Amino acid sequence: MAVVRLILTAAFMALGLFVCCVGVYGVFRLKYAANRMHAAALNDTMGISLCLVGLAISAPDVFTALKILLVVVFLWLASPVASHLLCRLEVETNEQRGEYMNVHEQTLAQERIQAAQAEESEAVRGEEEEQA
Amino acid sequence: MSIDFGYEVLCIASMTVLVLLALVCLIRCIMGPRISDRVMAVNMIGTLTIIMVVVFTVYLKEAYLADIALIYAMISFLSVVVLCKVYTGIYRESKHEQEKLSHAHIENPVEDFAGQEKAGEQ
Repeated sequence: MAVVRLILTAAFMALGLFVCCVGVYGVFRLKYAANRMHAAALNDTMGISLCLVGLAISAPDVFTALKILLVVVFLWLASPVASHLLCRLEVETNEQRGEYMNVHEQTLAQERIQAAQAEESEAVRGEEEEQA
Repeated sequence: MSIDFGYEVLCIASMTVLVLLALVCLIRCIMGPRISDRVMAVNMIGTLTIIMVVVFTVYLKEAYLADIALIYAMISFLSVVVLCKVYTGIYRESKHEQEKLSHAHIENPVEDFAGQEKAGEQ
């Protein structure tokens, strides 16, 4: 039984580490940040899931195995949110984003409206300060 | 006996691979031309560190290390969220400052202030 667990763990770990290697290679191979995000997400989902499932098989007790699986479930929830925030950072701060990505026109318009609103509120605040 | 040896070989080999991958991620983090590349590389290093901590859970047969892995996952997620928000805010602020300066270069506040001070002295 212990031998089977060891072999299963080794197989899952080998697969998971292979996926991690592919992800890290992809981060160097792809050219732009939004493309690299794809390789990073590979590492965040498939790589860590396979590794942790393999290690949960040979965990010291059942509760530890469940805790390790809870890490996987948490990453399923957290990784897409982190990717979304990173992509928003990239779209917002990259001035040359038009070279390699198509941003929806509506998004750009919304951004301009938001910037204008921020400027307006700043101006109103400035006037209030002057009056005071 | 031989099974313990097998676990030792497995854990040490996977740790070696993980450490090498983390070092390569660190190179990406230093090279990254844009700030989003760097934040992404930090996120990847966090993911690899979670795997390392769980490898230690199996290697040392200590149950509490699984809790540490869970907390590390949460803190790494939090750090990515905070870094993204902070850098978006910094970018917006600097852009706003630039726009203000380009729009209002006639009435320069610094010169105005200096002029007022000189007038007061006279």
